[in-house]
Formats: sequence, structure tokens, C-alpha cells
Amino acid sequence: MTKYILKRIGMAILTLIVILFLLFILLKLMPGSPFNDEKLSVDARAALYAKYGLDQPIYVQFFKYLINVIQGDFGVSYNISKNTAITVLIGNRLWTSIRIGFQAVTFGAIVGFLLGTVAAIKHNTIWDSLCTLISVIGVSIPSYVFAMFLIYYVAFKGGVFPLSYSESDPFGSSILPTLSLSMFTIASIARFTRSEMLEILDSDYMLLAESKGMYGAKLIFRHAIRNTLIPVITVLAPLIVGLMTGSLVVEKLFSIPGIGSLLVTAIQSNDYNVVIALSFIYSLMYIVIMLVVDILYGVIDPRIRVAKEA
Amino acid sequence: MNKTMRKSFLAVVSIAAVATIASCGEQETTTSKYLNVSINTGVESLDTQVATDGTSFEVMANYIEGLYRVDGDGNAVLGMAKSVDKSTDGKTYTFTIRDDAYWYTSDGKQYAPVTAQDFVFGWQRGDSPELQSEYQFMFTDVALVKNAADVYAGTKALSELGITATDDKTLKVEIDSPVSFFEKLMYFPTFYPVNQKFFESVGGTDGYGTSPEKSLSNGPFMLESYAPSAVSFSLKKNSGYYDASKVAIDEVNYKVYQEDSTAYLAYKNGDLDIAPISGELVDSNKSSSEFHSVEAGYLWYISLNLQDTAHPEIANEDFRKAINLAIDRQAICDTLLKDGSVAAEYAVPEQLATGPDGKDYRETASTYDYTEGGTKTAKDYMDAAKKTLGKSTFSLALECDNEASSVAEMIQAQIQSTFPEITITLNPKVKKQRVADMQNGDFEICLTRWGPDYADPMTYLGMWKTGNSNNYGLWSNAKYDQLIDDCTDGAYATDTTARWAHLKEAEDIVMDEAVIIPVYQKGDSYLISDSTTGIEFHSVALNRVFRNVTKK
Amino acid sequence: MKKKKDIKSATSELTYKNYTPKAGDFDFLKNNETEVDKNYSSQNYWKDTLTRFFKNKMAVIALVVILIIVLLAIFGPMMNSYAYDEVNSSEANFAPRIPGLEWLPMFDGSEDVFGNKYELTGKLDVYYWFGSDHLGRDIWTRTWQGTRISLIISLFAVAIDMVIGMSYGLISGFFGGKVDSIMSRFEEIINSIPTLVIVTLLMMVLKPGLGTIIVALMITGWIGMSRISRAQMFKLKEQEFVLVSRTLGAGNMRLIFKDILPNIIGQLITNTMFSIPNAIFTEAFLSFVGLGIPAPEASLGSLISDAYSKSFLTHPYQILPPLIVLGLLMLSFNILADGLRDALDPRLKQV
Repeated sequence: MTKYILKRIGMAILTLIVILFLLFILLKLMPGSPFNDEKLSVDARAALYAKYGLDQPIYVQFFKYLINVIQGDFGVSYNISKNTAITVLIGNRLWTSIRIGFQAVTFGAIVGFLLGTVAAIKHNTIWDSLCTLISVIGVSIPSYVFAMFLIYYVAFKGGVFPLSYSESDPFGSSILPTLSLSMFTIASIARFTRSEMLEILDSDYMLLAESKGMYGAKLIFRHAIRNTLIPVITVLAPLIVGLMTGSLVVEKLFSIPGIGSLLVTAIQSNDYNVVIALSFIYSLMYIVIMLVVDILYGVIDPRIRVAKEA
Repeated sequence: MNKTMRKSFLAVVSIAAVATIASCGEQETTTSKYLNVSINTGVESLDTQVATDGTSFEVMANYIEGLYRVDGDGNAVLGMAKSVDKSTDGKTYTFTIRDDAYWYTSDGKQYAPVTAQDFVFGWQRGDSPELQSEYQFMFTDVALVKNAADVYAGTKALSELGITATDDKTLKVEIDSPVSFFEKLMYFPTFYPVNQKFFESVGGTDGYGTSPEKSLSNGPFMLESYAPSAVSFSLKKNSGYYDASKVAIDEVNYKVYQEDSTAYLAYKNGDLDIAPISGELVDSNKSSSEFHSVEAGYLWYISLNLQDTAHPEIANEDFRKAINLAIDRQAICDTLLKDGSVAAEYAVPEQLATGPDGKDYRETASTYDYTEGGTKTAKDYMDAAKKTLGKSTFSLALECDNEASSVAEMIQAQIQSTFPEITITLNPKVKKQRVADMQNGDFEICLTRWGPDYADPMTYLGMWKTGNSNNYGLWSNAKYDQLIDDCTDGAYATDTTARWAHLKEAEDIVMDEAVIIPVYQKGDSYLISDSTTGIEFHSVALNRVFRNVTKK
Repeated sequence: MKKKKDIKSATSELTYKNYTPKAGDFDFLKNNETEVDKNYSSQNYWKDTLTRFFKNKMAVIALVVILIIVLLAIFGPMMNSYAYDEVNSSEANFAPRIPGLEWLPMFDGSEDVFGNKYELTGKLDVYYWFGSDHLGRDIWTRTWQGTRISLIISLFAVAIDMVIGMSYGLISGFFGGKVDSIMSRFEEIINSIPTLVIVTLLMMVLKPGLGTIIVALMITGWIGMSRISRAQMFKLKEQEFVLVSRTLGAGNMRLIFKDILPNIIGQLITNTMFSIPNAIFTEAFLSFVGLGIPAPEASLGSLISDAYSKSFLTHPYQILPPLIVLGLLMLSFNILADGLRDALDPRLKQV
């Protein structure tokens, strides 16, 4: 088991370095320069290039970049906040994004799971139809569209929740963003849980347990749910990634000071260093999540652990 | 209860009653006035010699004041300087700094008096080769400070820059040639003072202005909360400001709303006192008392690559004039933009600069009418062009920023419907790519804009001088160059009236030769709550000034 | 738990009485379908699949919806006289008006606040079926044009992905060993970069346009296909029918593509159907952050994004057509893919 984990971690680190290199090459291919080109003369631009070390050969620049990244220095932002170290920019925002993302995932997973379970148990009743309806809507409409409607109808017209995120009310003002982001998760997990649960409820060992005299909640919890959890966890990982995408626009709409809105701003203002740094952070998060899910998977399902060790 | 107890009981009650009534009276005098404003993009920097964008300038001007400040009508008014003595040749200014001007730290404590040395340090820094400030050209090309070019090139020491502190409160500035709008330059943040001791104590360029604790204030407000790229931050009133009694706002709260629609909803909800609107929202709010429209400085125009050998029609003056007449600017402003933008058929915007006659430049400048009173039409020009070129069909690529694609689409439709023989393809690009293309001469015609750096027509007219790095069309006219030079630091530099007249002459050349095709001058429309009065708008340097705002 | 004695006495009571069975005495626990007259002869796998598929009503409806949308995408823009990029600024922001359906309040050309612009401007013989946008372009035409573009982008991207992914996985799985090792490592690295990152960066570096978006979308989509192909290859390559072919002299390529491939087509098709909504989704997202199809071209994503920033608060009807089409497409493809997967999966075959 340990060997497996170590191997996976080693692979992850190698991947990260390759990713960093690819990102760096892409950075160099971006059009224009990081500076406010319109107002600068040719000489001024050349001087700025020299100052930031942008006139040296590629491999020299990459090497310097790599060393810096290992020490936690991603360079400075040129546009969003001049001369500010990118790590400082990302610092506070990362925590906000992770917090809201975590809220969305947990909320989405729990609600989705409950919804799917109830729908499976009360198969072909009104609950089942309700679950299907929610899944249908959640899967076919992007999270930012939900956000748009929630902002207008619930926050503005209804006045129930604040219109945009504010630091003074971190929980209350994050309810609508969490809701928008979690719709897709709820829908996917509900649907998936329902089909898995139906299959399990139909299976032989459930029939056996029931005939032994087990019924109701005890039956469901002890047997059905534990076995449904495994495939659900597998599905969760790509959903978390989907959350990353959705969060970009949702953060922009709600004025949330997170890395998603930072990335959108960086893209639109062509602050390439920030784009690269954030891309790297997203890749890092993705790899870490995949790693955790892989390991978790091995822990929960003994069959996989055994198979991998073989 | 016996008598003594009753007496003491009554005594206690009455004392309590008096105390309550007294404290009630005190409470009534403490209701804070908040001003909630929105901005479209975050602050890029709060370092006066580093920032380059309007938002940063606006925020900095709230809490730092320069030699001059700007009043509601756009005039430069003495700020940190209590008096000024200008030499007869206009090349030396001697400023006396106010005695009651002090620097305050964000916790409200007085740090040091504002001295002439602070200005010297700020300007030297702005022109220094090691800072490489993007607005360094203000010292060399605009303010014409003595030795600025040499100092920047490194051939002379910083101390040789034409600004010296003869004593703590006396500042001497030497410029190479008289600049008629010099006073107006002084409220531009690049010229603001920096207290050297404080600057170095907070880590120099890396730390200065990155948090309230690392900034000083000598203006009407001071930073209360801020971090780089913050989505919301605030300023509070600086009670030590020499004119604090006239500042009626206690706190200014900024918030970044990237989507105008969310800002509008926030405004309607009461979370904002001012919100920008455009398009259809203008139509539905036009009649309200909350609607305000101001002219901004940006001039949107089509730049033409006159050296494009693959498209010789661009170099043909008749062709350019034909295209100019094919564009229906009024329709663009009235049906698409609706934000107070106005049709522009000139090269220098309105309400940019006031002349020595006290009037806005545009009021006394020429109007350009290619139809010559209705005698010539677009078709006439086009026919003439076709004859000279020997071509009857044309195909051009119109480049523009992604954000400007709607306007570009309208222009494309208008040109193609007037002249079916012209095919226009649209090339919307990311702004950096568009700028890069123009700099490399890799374009045919391009919809672009220019915002003024200072309140003088030269900020536009200077662009079309031969060799200017913004002369992307590569137009060259010796007479024009001569006029520009004369107006900058040559024959007309000292005579403000003559200069003004010759600036108009220069504009005539640009427009007569149709070097650019102006489209519209940007306007900004806002909804301002009825309880808020006194927000001052400007088209140059400082977008909005909140110093004189009052709230009911 | 009843005592043995009690059960015995209870049952013996029942045995010795005359008891007429009633209708509700015996209820089938689960499966009560009478199994007579069902054909269990060995049929063509595909015929079986089709039969199963058509039994699934939801999937059939989804297929029909997709077909209708595709037809409209092809013929919709031609159905009226407006071009998708025809700017008509004097007719901007008109509400939907359909001749013949004007008695329905939403199609009579009027809206809140602005009233009936057709009447106000005296243009009574002008009809915009879905309304017109802020530049006066017909939304009906633009919606179907946008659907066309969105579908083209996703279909191309997914098709290319299928070909690349399938070949990659099959080859990697077939040869095994070192070849497989290297190819898998490479694939793992690519898979570790979130699609979001790759797609945004590519869009920033390359010139924006239809081709670029297809390339960007296709860069990471092939991995899913390749994994399935590889897994199936491992499972099938040791089977006897492969051994038979090999003994008869078939070369490697023939084995891969003619013998094994047909067995995994089913799964690949399902995966493809799942990837299409993903591609449409990603493209819509790109438009929202400003990296999508440049003007005046339209895609569903750019239509929604434009309608949101320009007219959501004043003319909400402008955002509805592309939004509904997007929703229907996503939904239908998902249900269709679900149905295909169920139909193709032999495990569900009733015996």
C-alpha cells in the first residue's frame, strides 16, 4: 500500500514539473507584452523588458522560473496589481475559493445523495419524479445561468439573500454562490446514486438480508449506502473539477474575491504571469484531488487494494 | 420603605434619568455619512509614480494631494501649494507649501509636515531609470522638466533633475520651455509628493501603498482597509486635512462590480450611491432625477494603415473621406451605446481643454464637414477614388478589441450598405493582440481609442507627428511636424494665444487629409441617488472626485 | 422468533381447515412478468440493442428532440429572410412577434416597460419570431446559426477525439509492455492538466476562431476514449477468437481494427454521446469568459453571454431561446447516452 502511494506521489511531482514547463512555453507564446503597450515608446518597452529579465533566452528564463516556483515565488503581476507578488495576490483569495468550493461540494454531495437514495427507495412515486426533475434541470443548465437567475429573482426581487459577496458576512453572502455551484453536483450525484441504489436494492445480498429479518433504515444504512458510496466517490472527483470551471463565472457574477474571478480578470487584462500561476495552482489542486480519491478508493474498497497490490 | 430609603431611591432614579437624557443628546450628533461607490476593475497600484489607470488615480487622489488639485469645473486650484510665483519667461516656478499641510498615518496620527523635499523625492523617483515608471514620459515630453531626459537615460544624477527644495516649504521647478497647461499637470498623480523617510521604512517600492499601514495621507481621506487586488476596500475622513471642515463624508466604500448589471441591481437595492449604466437601461431611466450623463475623454476613431501596399485605396484621401461619410455616428450613439456618447467628427474631444480665451477648445475650433455643405456626397468621393485607383471593388479587414465588436459590427454594416462594392471582414482581437498588431503595422483599418493624459489638445495632436510611437498609420507631413514642434517647445511655446490658434491649424491638417476617421466621443451615464450631491466628474486624469460630496 | 412449537401448531391449524385461496393471498414479490411468448433465440447483437433502446421511452424522446434541433439548425436560418449578421439598428430590441400566434401574449410584440415597439415605430409588417437583439439582428436566425456552430464544434471535436483516443488506446493495450507503459504515462500527464487550463491557455495563444476552439476542445477529450479502448483491449486480447484470427495469419493491424474494434464500438459510442454535451458546455463557458467565438459569428454560449451582459435586465426574452436550446441539447444527449448505455449493456438481458 505504501509503495503504491509513494509511486503515485512521485508520478504526481513529475507531472507537475512537465505541466509547469508546458505552461511556461505557452506563456512565451502569448501575444503582446505584459505592459501597457499603447503608452510606451519602443525604448521604454525595451528598458522594461530588460528590467524584468524578459530579454534572456528561454531556457534561462524557465530555469529561473522553476527555481522561483519551488521557493514559492511566481513572479509579479503586471496589470491587475502592479509589482505585487502573485503569491500575495493569490494568498487570501485561495482560501475563499476553497471554502466556497468545499461548501458547494459537501452540500451538493449530501443533498444529491439523499435525494438519490430517497428516489430509489420510493421508486416510481412522486419522490422519484421530483428527483428526476431536479437532476434534469441541474445537468442541462450551466451553473452561471443558475447564478444569474438566483441573483435576479432571489436576491434582488426577493431580497432574501445579499446580492454579492461581502467580507463582513462571509457565510450568509456565500449561500447563493454555493447554491449555484452545487446544482450540477446535486443533479449528477442524485441520478447516479439513484441508479446505483436501485441496482443494489435489487441485488441478491439485499434480498438475503431482508429475508433474514432486516428491514427499514437499518437495512439501508448497513448495506445499501456503504456499497453505493464507492462509485459515488469515483464520480465526485470529476465533479470537483467541473466546479472549478463553474466557479470562474460565478465568482465574477457575485464579486467574490476568489481565484476564479482573478483568473477571469487576468485573462481579460492579459496579465499572463497570473494566468500561468493560477493554471498551475488549478493543476496542482486537480492532481492532489485525484491522488486523494485514488488512495481513498483503495482504502474503502478492499477489492481494489488487493488487485493493485497483485 | 422608610423615608431615608425613599429619598435615596428617588435620588438614584433622578440621577439616572438626567444621565440618560444627557447621553441621548450626545447620541444625536453621531450619524456617519457613507458614500458607496462601484468600480469596474480593481485598483492596479496605489503607488503614485507606478500606477497608470484611471481607477488607481481616482482612489489615490482621494487621500493624496499634489501642488494643485482640480475643482468641479476642471480648473487647477492650489492644493498643497499656498502660493506660486512664475517667472516671466515661464520656465521657473517657485511654490510655497502650506504650513498646515501634514502627513498622517492610517491610524490618524500626524507623521510629519509636508515638505518641498517630498515633491523632490517623488519626481526624482518617477523619472529614475531604476523605477522605469510607465508614465515617466510625463517628465520628459509633457512637463518638459529640465534634465529629465538625461536623468532617465542615466547620464545625469537624480539630483540634477529640474526640481529643488530651497528650504522645507519652498519648491523650485525648472522646465525647458513654457508649458501653458503646467498647473493642470500638477494634479496628475505622477507628480504627487512622497515622504522619503516613510517610504523607506515600509519597504520602498515593494511595500509602499500596499496596505493602510504602509501609506500616508495628506488629502481629504485616508485609507482604512485595502489589500492588493481587493474586491472591496474603504477610506475614512482625514480629520487632520487642512480643509477637513469642508469634507462632509465620513467614509467612502469602494466595491468592484465587474458586471454592470450586478452594479445596477446593487444600486436599486440601496447598496450603492452611484452606478454606471448604458444601453437599454439608459432608456428606461432617462427621465429620472437620478440620471446623469457626462462626457468622458476617450475618442474612438478608425486608424488607417496608410503604408499598406496591399491596399492602396487606404492611402487615397477620397476613399477615406467616402468611408467617413458612410458611417452614421448618430445611429451608433443613439441606438447602440445610449450612454451619453456623442458623435465625433473631430480629432480633439470636447471638454478636454480650456484655452487662453477661457473657452473649451472645441467651441472655437473648426467643424469638419466633408459634404461641404451638402454639395458632395459619399458617392462622389468614392467615384473619384475609383477613378484614380482604377479599381471598383474593395475588400478590407476591420480590426477591433473584443469589447468594441458591437460598434465595429455597426460600422461594417453601415459601410457595406452604403457601398455594396466594399466587403468588410471583422477581426475582433484580444486587446493586447490588437495593440501588438498595430505596433507591428500588421493591420489595414482598426477601430481604436485614445484617452487623454493631460488636459491639452497636444495629448491627441502629438500622436500624429512623424515618428511618434503611436502614429500607427505612419502618416507623415512636414508642415504638421513643424507646427507640433513649434507648439511644444518652439516658436509658439511662450505665446499661449498663438499656440492655441496653431493647434487648431494642426488639427485642420489632420482632418482635411482624413488621417483618421473619428467615430464617437465616449460618454458615461450614471445613476446617482438623490441623497448624494457633489460628485465631480472629469475627462482627464481623475475620473471622479469625492472631496466635495454631501449626503442627506 | 416464534418458538418451534407455536409455528407447528399454527400451520397445522391451517392445513386441516378448508381454505379457499383468495386473490390477494399470493402476491409476486418482484418480477411478475409472465415469461411466455418471449423470443429467446440468439439474435444479432445489434438488433437486440435496438429493440432494447426503443423500449426506453425517454431515450427515444431525447433522440427525437435532438433530431428536431439538428433539423432546425440546418434549415432554421433559411426559414426567414433575415441573415444572422444583418445589423438593423432602427429595429433593435424588438419583442418576439409571430404572425398567426399574436393572440398569445408572449408573441404579440409587446413587453413590459417598453410597450409594443412594432406599434410605436409603425413597423406593423415586420416580424421577429424570437425578437431582435441590441443590434437589431433576428434572434431566431442567430439562435439556429449558433446551434449550428455549437454542434459543429462539438461533433468535430468529439469525432476527432474518438478516432485518436480509440487508436491510441487500442494500440497501447495491444502491444502492452514498454509501449503501453510509455503511452500510459504520457496520457496520465495530459490527463492531469484540467481541461479548463489547457483550453483557456490555447485560446489565448492561438488566433480565435472556429478551428482553434475545435483544437482546444479536442486536446483533452481523447483520454476517456483511450482508457476505455485500452481496458477493453486488455480484456479481449486473450480471448480465443483473437487467437483463432492470429493462427489464421492475421497481422496486428487487422487484429486490432477488424476483430477487436467491433466489440468495443458500443461503449465508444456511448462515451461519445456523453462527451458532446461536455464539449458544448466548455464552449459556452469559453464564451462567457471572453475567449469564445469572435463576433459576428454566434454560438449558443456567446449568444447567452451577450444577452446576459447587454439585455438581461431590460429585455429578458433575448436570453431565453439560446438558453432553452442549450438546455434541451444537454439534457437530450445525456438521456440518449444513458439509454444507449443501458441498451448496449448485455448484463441487463433478461434470461
